[in-house]
Amino acid sequence: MKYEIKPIQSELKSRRIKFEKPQNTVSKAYMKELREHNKTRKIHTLNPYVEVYQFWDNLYGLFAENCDGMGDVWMYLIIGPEKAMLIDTAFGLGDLKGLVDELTGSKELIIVNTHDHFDHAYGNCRFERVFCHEHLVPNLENQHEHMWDYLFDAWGNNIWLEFDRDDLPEFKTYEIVGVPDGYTWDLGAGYEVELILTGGHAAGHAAYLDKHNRILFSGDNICVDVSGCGSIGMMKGKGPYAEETQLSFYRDRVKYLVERMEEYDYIFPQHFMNNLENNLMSDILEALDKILDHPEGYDYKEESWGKMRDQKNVRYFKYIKGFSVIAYGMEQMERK
Amino acid sequence: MKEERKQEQMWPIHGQSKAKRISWGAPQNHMSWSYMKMLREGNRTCKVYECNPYVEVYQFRDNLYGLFNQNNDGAGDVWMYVLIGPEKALVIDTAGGLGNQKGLVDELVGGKPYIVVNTHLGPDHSFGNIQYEKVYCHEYEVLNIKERVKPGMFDYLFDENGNNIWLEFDKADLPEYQDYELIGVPDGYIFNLGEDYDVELVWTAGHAAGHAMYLDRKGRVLFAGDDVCSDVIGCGSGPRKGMHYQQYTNIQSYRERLEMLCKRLDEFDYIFPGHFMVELENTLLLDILETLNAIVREPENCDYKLESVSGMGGERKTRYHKCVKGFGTVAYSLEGVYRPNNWNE
Repeated sequence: MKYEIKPIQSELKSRRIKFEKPQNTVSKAYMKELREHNKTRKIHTLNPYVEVYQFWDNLYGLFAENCDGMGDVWMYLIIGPEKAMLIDTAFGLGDLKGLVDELTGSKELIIVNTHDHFDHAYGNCRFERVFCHEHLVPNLENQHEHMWDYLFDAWGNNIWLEFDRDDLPEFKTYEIVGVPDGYTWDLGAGYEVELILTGGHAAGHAAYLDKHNRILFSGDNICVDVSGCGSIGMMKGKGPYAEETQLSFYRDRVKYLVERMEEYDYIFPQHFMNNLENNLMSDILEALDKILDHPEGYDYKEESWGKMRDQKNVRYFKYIKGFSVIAYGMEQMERK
Repeated sequence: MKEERKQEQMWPIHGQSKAKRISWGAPQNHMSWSYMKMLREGNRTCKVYECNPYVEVYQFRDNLYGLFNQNNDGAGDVWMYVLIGPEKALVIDTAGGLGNQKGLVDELVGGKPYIVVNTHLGPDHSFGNIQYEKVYCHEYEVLNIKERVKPGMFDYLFDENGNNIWLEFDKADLPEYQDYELIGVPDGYIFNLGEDYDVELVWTAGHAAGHAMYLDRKGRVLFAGDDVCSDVIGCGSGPRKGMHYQQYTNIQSYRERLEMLCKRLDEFDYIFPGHFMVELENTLLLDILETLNAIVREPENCDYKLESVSGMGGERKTRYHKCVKGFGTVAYSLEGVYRPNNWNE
């Protein structure tokens, strides 16, 4: 029997060629039900690459297929009384700015990133200015005009997702504004959104707390498929602020988020399942504490050959009660 | 902005059913709750019919309806399914029987004759049987259902003052008990819905002695009852006192049946269980099998133990939980791992 990811009925202009990795049963079932049956789903003519879902009166989920072989991705649009905020920009495929302006009625727009990865920040250059945690700035500054090239093979054919290359943005530099942990935006009439540094999945990774809707947008640290939220040791050569990708760093930030659970009801991650209840955070903390207490006590592991095919990568997995798994590495564990 | 909440998790889902939740038994997991919130609040096919305000009807295929019933007791809310074939329809499970279920089924099938079947005994799967004249189930489940579906069967839903314990509904909307014919059939029995539309009963054991799944060969769908569940698959309770064929309520028995089903994965694409997440890909069965194999190898090596309360009240018991990769957990007791030797009824 062949493992596969069965196609979901879709009216998007993009078409999946292949995924790079399997996704778990729950993620697939959730996305199938949501995408095939949700009553708010709309595709705007302005951007045929994005499914727009209206989750709350002033909260839209913008679903885009991942241009590479990883999991499809959410951007979130909050429309405040005076200003709107877009959290993440995916790959930038299609007229993202036009779509957002249509949804907000051209309100002033604040763009923020949870982190710098391809599927969250490559659409930044469609905008004039992007905010992020200050430790993310050096990574975002690495973006360049050839960053989309890996999506095509030597003949120029799409590798993972079928789409029109002309629909990718033209690269231009934009203003990157780094802000500290706790920085708060006012979307008008006291509608506040706060940046909370989390690290974990990436250095400078941030979550965004919508204090009015009481929602935490958690980026890639929480994922119903696999939560990749750091490693036991510090990964050397991973760039500035790599110490934030240690599980111990992330664990302390989760502890902080558990202490602030009174301020949010729901958690919206950037992939797959969303509208998760806040108490999930406590179960994540419990799993992290178990890992840090006894890294060898994983539930299962997976081995794969690294990019250079010269060494095996091992990922260790620990279950989060009632949810999915945390995946972590141990290769460069600091010896005490 | 903040809603008033009685509990730490499982906050109210804004569904369309008339019944309102009072309390739950064991908590349900994050994934199942989030999924049901998304489905019940967002699915565009959801419809509540006038003849039965307690049931949310979802259309999953042209010929397949999922009938969502809140659980009358504190266990998880439950699905029944109406599958419409060329000449006949098949009704899979009858839930707790609240409201005019038969009237609703009659309306959905549009005058076609239909066959009613059970996956297993369970107040939330077979109490609605009394609304019909004839119901089929696996032969090992006949006595179990007969001895439970009887006059007075709804009494446990109310406290000494006659108040609803778990779910708020109008007592008058429960059906009056009436006798019906319960017919046991063997594993592999075929229900023909007209032309070549065959649905096969597949005996799986595990969650109940005569637990059966129903394989819609034409629609390539497996209705899995309670042996597949995105919250907890309780398929290893071990023998229950006073019930029949209890040598089959263990991990070993379900494992053997599941291994056989895993060789038939090319006959169906999706799985529709009796609770929570639906339309699960067929390969999930391989992941469940892997978990059952691990339990049989090393029963003590679970991922965690929980003291849990039954949705029907009663004593707390310790359940071992083993995670299914990418899904929920399998729950069992140490008496529910292996099939007992020399079992006498």
